[in-house]
Amino acid sequence: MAERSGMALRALCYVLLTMGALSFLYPFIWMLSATVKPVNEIFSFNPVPSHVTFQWYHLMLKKIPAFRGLFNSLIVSSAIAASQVLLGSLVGFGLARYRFAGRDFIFGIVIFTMVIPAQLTLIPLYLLVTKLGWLDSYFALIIPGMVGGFSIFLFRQFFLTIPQDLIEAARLDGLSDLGILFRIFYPLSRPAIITVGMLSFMGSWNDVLWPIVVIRKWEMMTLPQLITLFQIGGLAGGQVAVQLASTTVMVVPVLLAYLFFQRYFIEGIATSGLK
Amino acid sequence: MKKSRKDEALKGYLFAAPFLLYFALFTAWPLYYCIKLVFFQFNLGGEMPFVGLKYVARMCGDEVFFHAWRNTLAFVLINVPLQVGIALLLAVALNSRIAGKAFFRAAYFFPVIISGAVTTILWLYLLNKDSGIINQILGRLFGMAPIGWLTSESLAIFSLAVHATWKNVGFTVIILLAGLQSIPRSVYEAAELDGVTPWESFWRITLPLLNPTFVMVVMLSTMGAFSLFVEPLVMTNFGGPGDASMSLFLYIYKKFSFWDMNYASVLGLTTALVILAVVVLQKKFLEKEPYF
Repeated sequence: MAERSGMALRALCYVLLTMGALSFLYPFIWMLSATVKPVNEIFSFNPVPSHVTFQWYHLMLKKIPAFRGLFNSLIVSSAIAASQVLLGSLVGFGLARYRFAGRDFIFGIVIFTMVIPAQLTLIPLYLLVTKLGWLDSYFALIIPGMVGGFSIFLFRQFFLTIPQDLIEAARLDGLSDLGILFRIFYPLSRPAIITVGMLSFMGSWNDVLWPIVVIRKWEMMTLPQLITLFQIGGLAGGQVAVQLASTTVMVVPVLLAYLFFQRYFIEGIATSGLK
Repeated sequence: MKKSRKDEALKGYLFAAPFLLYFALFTAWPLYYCIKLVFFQFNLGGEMPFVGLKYVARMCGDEVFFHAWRNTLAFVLINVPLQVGIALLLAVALNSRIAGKAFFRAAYFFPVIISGAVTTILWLYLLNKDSGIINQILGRLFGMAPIGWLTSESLAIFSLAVHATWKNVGFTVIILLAGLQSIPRSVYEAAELDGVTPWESFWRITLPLLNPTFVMVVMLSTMGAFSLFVEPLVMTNFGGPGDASMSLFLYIYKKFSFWDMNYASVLGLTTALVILAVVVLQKKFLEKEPYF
């Protein structure tokens, strides 16, 4: 009896999970297929096109500098991800491994920066960037995103779990503090590094609000900004497939990175910082 | 001994320095300036005269701001329970002994990593009244007449909340799953020996032990839901129809883009204070034991 109800429960789980997976994946499959379909098939439920066409991609490239946007996004997001990992791990190391007056207070500020909404500091930040003469430059896109509360928090939590004996031993072997961070902590912290790197990369890659505020020149725009303006500015001329072609350009790099890293990534989020 | 402690403190500050610099420049100063803009007339470069509570008074008589509050609250009240509820269901299912876990996790998380700019445009077409896939499915399965998901005043916010749930539920699933996995199997096995049904063990064991994770998930989803911005910008064309889906952050952005700096700051500060209060209250009322 118990055996049978267990089976029924498991079957129910499968039905639930499969329905979930379908509803999460089907829209993307539809989107990808719509960008290579002839015009009269775009809104069809069936994702298989009668023949494949690349005209929508050609049209999109005529209207917006998508490759330039892709390049800008890659530069900005890579710089931010690298810096968030480096600076986040330095600060996290300091907060996890040294005792000094005000340390807990500083950690309190770290948490505080995680809670305040970005929109609140938007206006003064914009004014600051204007004063510094950074409008329409990579500086405006990169520098305010180089450090983040979440990265510091995640590294600190992760570093706290590394045993003190290991550090003492390394010190006896004559390693400096930075040596301990880079040669002992880094190899042990792969999930944390990948998680911070991926989350910062994606956060910046997907951000629309900040680029819209500080970038006005088409050739400096990031890809999501271009795509959003393409949509709300009516530049796509109501052509659905052109629109979807632009979003596909945006999804594919993230999809590839995700497929490559997702195992570490999801585990990193689930096990390191948020415990 | 004393020297080494001083040494340690010095190193600590050195390591913390990048953050302190960042905080001073990109958080503390902007916050200070934001508060200043409540009371002093914005003037780029010049002197800023005191204006008292002029902008606060303006806010109190601003009908659109109240609509933005109503819409955003409606969005939070639909999105958060939906998101946490569905995530709990999926996480519990995913935590049982089944095959293909890695695939399901990856599938659920996929919309999370995609830009809101992309998913909102995608959903704009899925929700299209005449040709959208969702109306096609409803029509085929239930013979329903096409619904104006985004063009009807009463449905616009609901549709945005459904999109947001779809987009973000995967994140909630992953965190809840981590919480579920930290509950030892032996607890369930002992309960099973005592003849406890799965339903009872869910309510008596899973939910109480999941409480800290649950509280965190509710708080994170609430903060996320309050920052509703890209959806009404893209999907309902700047908060339409009328201002039926105008959100707080979209309204603040609108004021900002019209160079109405003082007013945008007053709105931003008010909104942030209320969000903080809501999140603190949630923590207080939901949490069984202090967690962090």
